[in-house]
Amino acid sequence: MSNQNNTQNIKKGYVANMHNAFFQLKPHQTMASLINFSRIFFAFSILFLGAYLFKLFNIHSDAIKHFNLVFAKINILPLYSNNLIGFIFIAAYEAIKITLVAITLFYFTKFLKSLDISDPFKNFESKKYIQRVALLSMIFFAIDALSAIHLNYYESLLSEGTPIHIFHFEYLFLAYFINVFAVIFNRGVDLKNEIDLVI
Amino acid sequence: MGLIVNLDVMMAKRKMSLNELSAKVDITIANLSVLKTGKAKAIRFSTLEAICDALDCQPGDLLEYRK
Repeated sequence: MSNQNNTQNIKKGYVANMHNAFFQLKPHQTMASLINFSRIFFAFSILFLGAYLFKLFNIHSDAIKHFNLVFAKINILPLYSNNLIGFIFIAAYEAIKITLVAITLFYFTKFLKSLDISDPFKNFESKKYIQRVALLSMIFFAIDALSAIHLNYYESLLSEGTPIHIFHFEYLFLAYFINVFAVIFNRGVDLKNEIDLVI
Repeated sequence: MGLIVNLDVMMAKRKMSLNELSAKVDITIANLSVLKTGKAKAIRFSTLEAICDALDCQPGDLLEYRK
């Protein structure tokens, strides 16, 4: 009976926390929830990377049709048989991109954890982490653009149709936004430091 | 080089400790230490006035510009 009550209390507490975080927008609870979410996303990205690598190293001709979705809807069976280097390139791009997402989420979680919402510009650690996130987002965009170029090239080899894979503009926009945010945040940390050193 | 704070020199001349100065000018020891070690980014006129008053000196005695 007491166990049931405890469970109910925990549920109430959890629901209340979520309500406070996202409807009342109470800063500390919102931050705590965001940290938990980014931890979950990070765990999923690691799982996804593991699954992807497992699939990659267990590849054979019968199983390759399952790769259609992963490889931007291209049937890479001829590529796997005829141009192994091309296949390795495309597979490596995907692996690198998933790894970059995992590392970015890792640093983003660290950034959120280092952030004291009552005094956000106080901690020099958060400056370091947001700089890394900004850099990783730019690298991610560059890798994505490079993989799009390669995909176009291999698709033109595989089929007679015009290749239509263009890089994702939303990644560029996101990378720009994160970089602008990082620059503003860093300036905020520097200004806070200067203000603190006015005697 | 830029601006140099000669607070330690003036304190030695007046034979005043950091604790005493801190009590007289009502600034924390940590902040006085920041000022003494030259880590401070700026100093308020009111702080400068209070330190000059406590050490009986001119602002020029505390601050020096070196090329």
